[in-house]
Amino acid sequence: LNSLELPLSLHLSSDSSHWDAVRQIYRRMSVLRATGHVADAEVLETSYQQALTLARRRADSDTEEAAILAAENERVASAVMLADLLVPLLAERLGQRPVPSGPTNPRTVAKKENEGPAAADLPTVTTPPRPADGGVPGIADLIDGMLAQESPRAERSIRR
Amino acid sequence: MIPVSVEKPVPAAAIPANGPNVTLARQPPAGPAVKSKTVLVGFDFGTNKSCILAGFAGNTDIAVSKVVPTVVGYVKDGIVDGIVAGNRSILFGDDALQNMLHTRLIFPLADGVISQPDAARDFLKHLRTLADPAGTAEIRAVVGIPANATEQAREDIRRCAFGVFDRILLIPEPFLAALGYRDDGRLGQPNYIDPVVNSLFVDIGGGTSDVCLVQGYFPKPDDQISIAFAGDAIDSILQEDLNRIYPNNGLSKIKVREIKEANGYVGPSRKPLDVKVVIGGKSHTLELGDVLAKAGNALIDKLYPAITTLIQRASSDSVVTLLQNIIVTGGGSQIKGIDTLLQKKLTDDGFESPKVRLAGQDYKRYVALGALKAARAARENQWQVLLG
Repeated sequence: LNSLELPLSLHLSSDSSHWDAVRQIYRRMSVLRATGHVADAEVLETSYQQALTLARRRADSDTEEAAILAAENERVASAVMLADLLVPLLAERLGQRPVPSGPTNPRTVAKKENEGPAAADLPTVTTPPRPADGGVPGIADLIDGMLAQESPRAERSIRR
Repeated sequence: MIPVSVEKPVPAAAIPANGPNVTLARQPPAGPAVKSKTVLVGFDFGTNKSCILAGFAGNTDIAVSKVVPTVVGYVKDGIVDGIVAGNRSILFGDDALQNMLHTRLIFPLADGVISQPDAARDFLKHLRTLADPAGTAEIRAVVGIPANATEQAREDIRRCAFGVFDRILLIPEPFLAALGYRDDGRLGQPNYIDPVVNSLFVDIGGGTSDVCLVQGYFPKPDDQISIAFAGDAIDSILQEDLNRIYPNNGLSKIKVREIKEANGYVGPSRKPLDVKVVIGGKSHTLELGDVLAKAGNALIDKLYPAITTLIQRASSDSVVTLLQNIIVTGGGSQIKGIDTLLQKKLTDDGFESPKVRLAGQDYKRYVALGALKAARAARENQWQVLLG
């Protein structure tokens, strides 16, 4: 599920290579399309075209462009497939409806720190925590509640 | 509450020679790949004013506490050397406003969200220099966002924050206000109602007014209502009426805001309300009783239905206590009579003994303080790392 948490894709800093920018934006668009957010992907089209134009100006051939796009397509397809496989496995192992522990909205551009193998990302929160006895959960638990609220949308997207 | 003494100056040796408002060209170089220390930042990115609180991870001191007008001034071409201090090319906050004749002022936010990405990014870079003058620390920032902020609005913040903050968390502002307003020293006292346990927060900013049920869990979307009507909208009504009644008055947007901040009120018209202004170099006295009432009451007309909607969504078990804990914060809390009028309207509408209170003089800092508390409490895996 964390395959949806992708690097920030739209920052076209002068320090990064132009092909890196193309790669990142294209990856984001691919994920958005794969998760049903076609309109969101189209929003990025202008940035993508700008990045592509810049990169092409400095390219000796179109080989790199084709290779990048193919690699990103493959990467996203693999990620979606992995997610499809993992969701039922995790649900079975946990005996509950799987909810990612972090922000997995397709438009989330961040990557969680210390992201490990899939097992390390098992959900820790399934619903926003409510105080059972009038007490208040800690701030970190409240943040977990916020992150858990963001995850169902991503989950729905995956199942489309 | 925020102790008065928390604002500690950054060691002078660590501040760039030209003070906190550095130009981009004079920013410290990017930090090394392995950063030796971590600075936690609570950041209220407001449409008109922003607040940044920062402290090192591992302790509770607040090393930096600043309220900065959210404005960037790009110095115009051809300005003679020495006119702008340090011959800077970009000014921020009060420096920008004080040099408005020589700069092109850009307000990075409109209606609570980023509208000028380049200026927003420059503004964030400036704030980073306040939090980490040496530019060597890892910066982790909790950033307040309007309740019900769209994905695009969140995305825009992340884009602007890339390369400025190392890790971020975006959390709705009214919830952060409740966290900031919470007096941790009084938790557990019998007469203290923890605002995080059961309160209704009304956060009136420049671009949006956010109303939020805070009841011991993280507010769900149904617990929050964000209205694109706040201080700026009041200013617009005020300016329209001033232009109609006093044509060619020449009052700038900033001047109109000053008039509102000094005289704004809600409720029945208070006439006469004379306001002295300088128009065309001459002093004039304008009678603004009706104009200010109309503009202020327009906010109440938008806000009150949102408040009653959320009250009615509260459970029957919690609503009585909730009504005792309605808190108005943000710049709009300074509009005279707003607490009294809201309470009267609730009472008149039959709500059970409502009590509406103002957050108090630290209203500018509660969101940032809540953000800093969240930053200190966040688990390692809750931070989002912005990658290029």
